[in-house]
Parts: sequence; C-alpha cells; structure tokens
Amino acid sequence: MSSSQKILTVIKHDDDNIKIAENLQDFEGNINENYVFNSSDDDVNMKDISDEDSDEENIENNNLLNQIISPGDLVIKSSEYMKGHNTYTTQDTLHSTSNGSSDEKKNNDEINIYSSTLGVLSKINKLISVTNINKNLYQAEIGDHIIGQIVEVTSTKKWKLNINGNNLANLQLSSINLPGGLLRRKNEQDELNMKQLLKVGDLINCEVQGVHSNGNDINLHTRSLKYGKLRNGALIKVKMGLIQRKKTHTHFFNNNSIKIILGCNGFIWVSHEKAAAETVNKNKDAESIKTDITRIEQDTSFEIYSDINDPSIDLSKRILISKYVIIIKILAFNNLVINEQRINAVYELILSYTSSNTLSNKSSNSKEILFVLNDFDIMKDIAYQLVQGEKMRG
Amino acid sequence: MSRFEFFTSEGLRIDGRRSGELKNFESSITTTSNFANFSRSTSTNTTYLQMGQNKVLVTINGPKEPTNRSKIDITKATLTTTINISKFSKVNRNTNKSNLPDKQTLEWEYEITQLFSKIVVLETYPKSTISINVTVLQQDGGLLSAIINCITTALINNSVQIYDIVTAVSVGIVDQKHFLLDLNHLEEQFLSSGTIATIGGSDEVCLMRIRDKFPLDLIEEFVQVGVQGCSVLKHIIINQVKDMNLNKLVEIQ
Repeated sequence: MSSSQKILTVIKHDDDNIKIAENLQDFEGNINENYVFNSSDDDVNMKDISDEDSDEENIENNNLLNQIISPGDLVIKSSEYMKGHNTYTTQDTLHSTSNGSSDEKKNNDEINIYSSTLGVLSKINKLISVTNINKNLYQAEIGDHIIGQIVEVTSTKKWKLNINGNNLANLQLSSINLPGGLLRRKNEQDELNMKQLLKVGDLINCEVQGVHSNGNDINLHTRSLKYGKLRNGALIKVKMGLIQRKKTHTHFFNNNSIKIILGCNGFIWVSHEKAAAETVNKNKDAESIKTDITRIEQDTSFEIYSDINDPSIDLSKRILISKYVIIIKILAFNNLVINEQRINAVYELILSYTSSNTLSNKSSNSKEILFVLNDFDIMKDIAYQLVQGEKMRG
Repeated sequence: MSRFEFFTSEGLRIDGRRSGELKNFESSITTTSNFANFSRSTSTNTTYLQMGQNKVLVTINGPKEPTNRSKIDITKATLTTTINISKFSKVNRNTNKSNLPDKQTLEWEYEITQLFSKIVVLETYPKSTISINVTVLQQDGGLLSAIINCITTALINNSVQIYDIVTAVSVGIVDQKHFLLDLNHLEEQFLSSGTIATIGGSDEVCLMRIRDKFPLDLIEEFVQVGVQGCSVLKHIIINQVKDMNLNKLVEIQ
C-alpha cells in the first residue's frame, strides 16, 4: 500500500496536466483500437445468436443489459434521496478509505448515491435501493416462516441455527414449546435436557421473532403447533429468490398426504403427513374446548421431539416423497419461482410424461421414473412445457 | 538486451499483438451452480477466468459465521485469502516437495487481503468472515493481475458488496522506451515489469508491484499505460459479468 501512496503523490506533484493529457492521447489511439477489436468480436457472437433467435429478442436483451447496475456506478446525484440496500454514499467512503483516494468524490457538496452490487434499481418514494441479481444469502425479516438446521447447542440456553444467512440465528429455550403442556414453567431440568430435545443436525420449522442491529442478530421462535422439529421427509436447498414471501408457506398435495413447507430462506421440506391427523382435525369442531387443550398437551409431549421416523412410511410413500422432491428440483434447475400452482402443474406433466413415453411398465416400476426424470434434458423439456402451458392460460 | 526481439519495428510483439493490446479475456460462472448446489451450501459458486493462458478459479466462502471465535470482529467482517498455485501450472513442473506456499505466494496473499479489505464493504457484514480461495490451474505472464481480476468478478457474482470494481494489468518495458501491456510468459521472464491495479477504471492506483530492476524515470509513463489498460479492462469485465447474469434478471421480472 505504501507504494501506491507514493504514486499518488507523484501524480499530484505533477501539476502541469497538459503533459499527462498529451500522453493520454498517445495511448488512447492504441487502446481505442483494442477496444473496437473486442467489441467487434462481441458483435460476431451476437449475430450468431440472432441467427437462431429473432432480432426483437436481441434488442430486448440489450434493453435488459442497460438496466443492470454494476458496482461503483453512480445511481443518483442528489441529496433529496435516501440510500437503501446495496448502496453507499460518498460520506461512507470518507470514513472507510483512510487515505484520500477519492478526491473528486470528496469535493462534491451534494451526496451522490453509488451502487455496491450488481443489480436493478428499485425506487420507493425517496428511498433508492438496488435489488441484487444473485440473491445468495437470506436476509431475515420479522414474521418469516423459515427452516433452520441446528449447528450448535450453547451453554447459554440457546441453540444456534444455520438459516442460510451470513450469521447463525438464535433459538432460545424460552421460545420453544416445552414437552408436557403449553402453560408449564421451565425449570433447571429443562436446561439440562436441552440436548435431548433438539440435537445438532436437527431441522427446525420456525418463525423469525426479532432482528437486531444490521440484521445480523436473529431470534427465532417455535411457539405454535405448526412449528417445531421436522421428521418424516426430505430437505431440499434451493436458491434464494425462487421462493416468494406469501401468506402461507405450508401446502398440502396428493389428497393431503404430502406436506411441503417452502421456507423463506430457500430451504424446502417435503414430508409425508398422516391421514389420521386430518380426521382428528375434522372432528375437532364437535369436541369441547377442554379436550382440545388435552390434545395440545398430548402433542407437546416428548413425541414431537422424537428422532425416529414414522414406521408406517413404506417404500411407496417414500417414492411419493421423492417424486415431489424431483418436482422441486426441476423447478429450481430451470430457475422458475416455486409455488403451489406450479408444483401441481408439474406433477400432472410428470404423470403424462411417464405414460406417453412408455419407457417402462408405468406404475409397477415407478422407481425407474425417478431415475428418468433426473436427466437434464428431460428437466428442461418439462419446464418448457410448463411455461408454454402457463402462457396459454395467460 | 536479450536474445529475443520483443517489439519489432512494425510494432508487433512475439505473439502478434500490438503494444497496447490486451490478451483475450474470458470469465464464466460454473454452469451447474443451481443444480449441484442441492447438496452443498447454496451461497458459493465458482468463478473461472481465463486471461491469455492464465487459468484461475476463485471460490468465495461467505459471508458466514467464523468457525474460530477469536476471529470475530463486532463492527465488521474479516477477510482472508488463500492462493494455491498448482504444481503443474508452469511449463516446468514444480519439484518442490513441500506443500507449503512459497514466499511470493505469501506476499501476494497479504497484498490481496490488504487491497480487498478496502474494496469490500465490510461494515455490512459484522461478526462474519469472508474467505477467498484462489486456485491457479495454468500460469502465463501477469498472474497477479489475473488473480485480482478474477477475485473482482467472483465478488460481483457472489453478490458481496464492494465499493467499486478493481482491475489489474501487467506492464513491461522494452529498450527503455516501449511499453507493453499485459505480458505473456516470455516477456515477463526477460523484461523489467510490474503490475498495476486501479479502482473503477479511474486513475486511482490501489496496488503497484514492480519486479527486477526498474528505471525510475520511466515510472510515470509506466503508471499511465497501466491505468489506461485497467480502464479498458473494466468495461470488458462489466460487459461479461452483465452477460453472465442476464438470464437471472429475466427471472426476476
């Protein structure tokens, strides 16, 4: 770094800018030539593409390219606006860069907002922010329904969960449903039993309770019967941005036998649901409130923290689960937003796919269908059919 | 000065380029990123860069919770760099038996860490670490510049917040008067050369590294050539990164 400082001073001492300008002109010739060479190369590629596609698409692509903001670009030059996510102002750089590397930026009185990521501009009233194109990490917001994996059991009555963010989230002992009833006070015995309740590697279905200081301290809770430990299923990790924030994130498929939880943080849980639970719910209205409370107590017994899968899940149910796993994989592979309608649509496509392509004896060999569907080309084909179908419906 | 004629009277170099012409520059993200990541963490994808015959792979891990508690900084993230130069990357296979990095690699690691801790907006990721892992598959002249360009591209692809794009280029001097941009292997071996990195294609030099004997009176012109090369390279990098991420933008809308 010291060498770079020296160079800066060398340039500063040299006040007669004319000399530099002359030199610059000398080299501009070469470099312009070079740049033209590069850009012409690009044009050749573009033509190749345009031969296959229409010219309109090409123009559309160029329009999209112009929309993208790269890091360091000036987003807006005004002091009226506020900076949001993924942006920084000249004032920020003053604090962070110790030596005066940004002379031009310093001298300006008005606050310029620059982008710090590759993305698209989004403007809400006076708030300027840049939406990230590559959404990799989860940014927690209060009320999000997410799925986390336990990484650590700390001594301070907390579990640490991996929620696909840049820091681990906290799940406190006081914010889970303890076994043996809702209204029970927690005692020292519970603290000792923490490792028995939730172990390292367990998957937890939970909600964001609070976010503190820059969104890096996240507290979770499972204080509801729909949350808790997950079992009887499979986890899929997809890219952030494929799941949108909705009212409900729990969906049922295939006559309520398959339950899919779309976690806001890109974790998806596909599990088999007992049909018996459905009948209990139906009878619930007839029963009195008193028995309802006893049912809650039963549910919050040690069983909800058990590690063992339901023994009633046999091979056919497992195949059903993995079919839905593959459906989500197909959607994620093709960068399609995952929602309830699309999962249903792809399921129907898969049914037709296996029957039309008579690869095997349909239902008897349903295991082989899973292998067939793992092919890249077939995945793309199904997604193409899905998108076409959606276009037809509008 | 040497037995090769590095710059002919017609203005051509050994490999047929002009003095101010860059090597071909290509970069890509791993195409399988959205499929293979089902089993791994979703937050990493690999960036591959080819600058002439330099072939560099960069993976960026994080920002994530540090494994070592002592490394936690409450106000900002900590940045670490590891460079792994594979033994088969040179023309002659490296016969050094030990797996420890050599002195030059350690120096580069330190310099790159210093450089990028000013570039990455570390304040947005408190209590976390960002680790940059560089693997060199094949080396040609100007390896340091290729590594720096690849890290910049990788940071953008991984959506780590950065203040501006850093580009680097190597410059050599022939016969005390001609300046060659973006050296190849032979030129780097026989000429006095250096690497220059600038911020955002402007004339703000953020890294300069000179090897061998260097005529001090030529240094000013040397810097100007480097700065010009960097500003051209910035446009190339931005265009390539935008092209790479175009399909994702279509998804958003």
